[in-house]
Amino acid sequence: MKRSFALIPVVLGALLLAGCASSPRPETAIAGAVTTLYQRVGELEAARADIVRARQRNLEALRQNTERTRAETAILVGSWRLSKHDERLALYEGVLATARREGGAPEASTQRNSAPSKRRIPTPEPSTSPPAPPAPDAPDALAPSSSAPEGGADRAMLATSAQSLALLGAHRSPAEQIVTYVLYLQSVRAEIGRIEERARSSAKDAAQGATITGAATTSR
Amino acid sequence: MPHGRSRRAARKAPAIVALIALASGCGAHVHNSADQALAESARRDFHGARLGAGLQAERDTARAMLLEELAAVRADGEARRDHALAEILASEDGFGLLRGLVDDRARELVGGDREALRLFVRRARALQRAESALDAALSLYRTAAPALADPGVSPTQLACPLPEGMARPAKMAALIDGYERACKDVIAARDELKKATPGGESARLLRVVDEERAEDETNSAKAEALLRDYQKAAKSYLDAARPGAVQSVALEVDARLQLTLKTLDALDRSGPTGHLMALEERYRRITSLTASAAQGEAAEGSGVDTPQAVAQIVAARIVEIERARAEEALPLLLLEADRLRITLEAEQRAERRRKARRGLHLAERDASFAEARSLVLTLDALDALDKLSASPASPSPSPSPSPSPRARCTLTPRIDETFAKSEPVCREPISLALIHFTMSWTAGRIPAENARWLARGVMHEEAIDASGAALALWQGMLAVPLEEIARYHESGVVPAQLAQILVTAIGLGAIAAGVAATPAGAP
Repeated sequence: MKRSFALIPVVLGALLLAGCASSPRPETAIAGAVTTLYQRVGELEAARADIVRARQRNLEALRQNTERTRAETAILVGSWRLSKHDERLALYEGVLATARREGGAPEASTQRNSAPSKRRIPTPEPSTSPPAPPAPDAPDALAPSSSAPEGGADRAMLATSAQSLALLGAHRSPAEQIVTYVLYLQSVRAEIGRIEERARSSAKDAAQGATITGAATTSR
Repeated sequence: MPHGRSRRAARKAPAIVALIALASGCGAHVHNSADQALAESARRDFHGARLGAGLQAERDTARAMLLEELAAVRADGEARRDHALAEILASEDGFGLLRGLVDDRARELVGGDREALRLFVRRARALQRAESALDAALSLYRTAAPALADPGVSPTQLACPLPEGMARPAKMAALIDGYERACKDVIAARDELKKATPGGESARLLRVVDEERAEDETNSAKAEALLRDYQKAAKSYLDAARPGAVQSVALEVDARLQLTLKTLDALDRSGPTGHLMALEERYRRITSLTASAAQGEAAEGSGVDTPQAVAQIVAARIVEIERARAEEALPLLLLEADRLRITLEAEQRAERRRKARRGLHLAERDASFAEARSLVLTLDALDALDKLSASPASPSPSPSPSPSPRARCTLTPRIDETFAKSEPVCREPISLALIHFTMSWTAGRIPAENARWLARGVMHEEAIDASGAALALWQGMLAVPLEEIARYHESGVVPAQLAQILVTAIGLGAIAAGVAATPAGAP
């Protein structure tokens, strides 16, 4: 009799393992999803970091190019001053002053006001195309709303969360509703994947664009 | 034989316990403090990861970087412009160098010589005039159409080219015809410009702008047609699914549902415009569905779409899941509504970004037109100077160091010398040539480069937007089940209660076994 009652926990354990444990393990599925999220966050952050690095390299190259060009010009113009090429200097400064005035460029004018011509410069016809959108620095319609999603996750926390869930999933099977959520999550994974792909593709294009533009701009 | 009965009962006890456990369907949930702690830790760490904390900083960085880039691009363009002008003035053959620089730029811009550049400018101006006329025709239509349309009828949206078979109400025929003529002029001018641009930066830019426009036109036309198909199918299905629908119609309900799902799916996959329309439709429907479900409205409503039928259309996946799980659908519907909201906002933002990039490509195109025009004006001014410096009978208009007998201007290879020694009438074309050349930078090349950098900045923002949307979707999809898991592990039968249950169950089992073992009719 004692031996028979001693079997009770064994049977219960076996039943729990065989019956309950064989049912879907939603914690394991959610742990898998959190792990995937951990990886995605890393991939997307890396892709965006590539853009920033490409832009910074490009900006640096551009600035160096500008400095070199300015130095060459300064040497040239300085030599005119030394050799008393006053007409040439006046023409140079006069033309630039007019171009700056007509172009509306916010350049600091340190030149003598000696415009060689008072005639109005024909300016390009106004564009008939839709107006260019405001620069992204302006407060614009493109700015994210306060409800806009933001990112930049602490990936270590995600990893810990996934580990906890995986441990839970190894020996527990929770309520039906969680299983339902897991099924739902599986059904929308592809749609989330499409948006992730767009993020990766935009990041790649932007990084490549930065490199190409930089190469074009710095070559004279 | 009480001892024998007890032994038989003991032998049967494990089987009875097993039956009890099986009968409960493993539904008995035993609380475990360690699991509760793990579940709580999983929830806490997930929220602690702060999925939404860092992108705003990235966005700020991207914008700050863009401002620096725009300033740097402008500074670089101006430095190169100033340097080019200084080199022209310092050159021993300033006029030759100026023409050479214009030639170089013509090759880069249009892939041709001066004449190709002049042709390009003429065709570009023709296109811009045609575009102005089209804008005016559209503006006139938009102003007049609402007044001319029948009450309650929205005027049809115009697009260039006009959709085939578009309705032309008699009252608006003249306006639509005017728009169509202007549209044909634009298309013809566009083709002419393309023919005049065999290569170079402008050819590439025109190709990009054309492709984007064609993509927009195709997308919109296709999406509009598919939306109409879907609306027709949905109406047909909802009519058939309505309670009280005639039996003959009810038999076709499933076929109509399948057609509706197919048309909605086709709209969704037709391109960005169709995807946006499908999302809007799903979101509009699901919010009305969740609102009515939350208020506990009856499924039957005369003249109103039945919620089940709507759910079949907009949330087919939920209907399927619920059918399999036989659970209450509302929590999932709310989750789906949230997912649709996030996706819809992401798509709307992406659409605005796409439009912004297209606008910037057009701005770059217009800036390249302006540059080409300034370069042509530079050449015109140099030609005018040649005419003034050449005698009327002289066959060659090229600048010559020796003045012809009747020439009014004395050209020397050095521009500043010529300028200093010339009469005012000769100074003017010299000034104009130099000013137009510098204007080709100020009003053309530098703004074009700015537009190019801005477009790339938009692309960077697109990457951040899409990352944010994906993270928000993940967060929405995971937070709810994580909450459920944590709640689940907080609950459950504690071990002491379980022991009591087991003792009771075993006791009852033993009694039951005893009863079962008692011969019939025994006291």
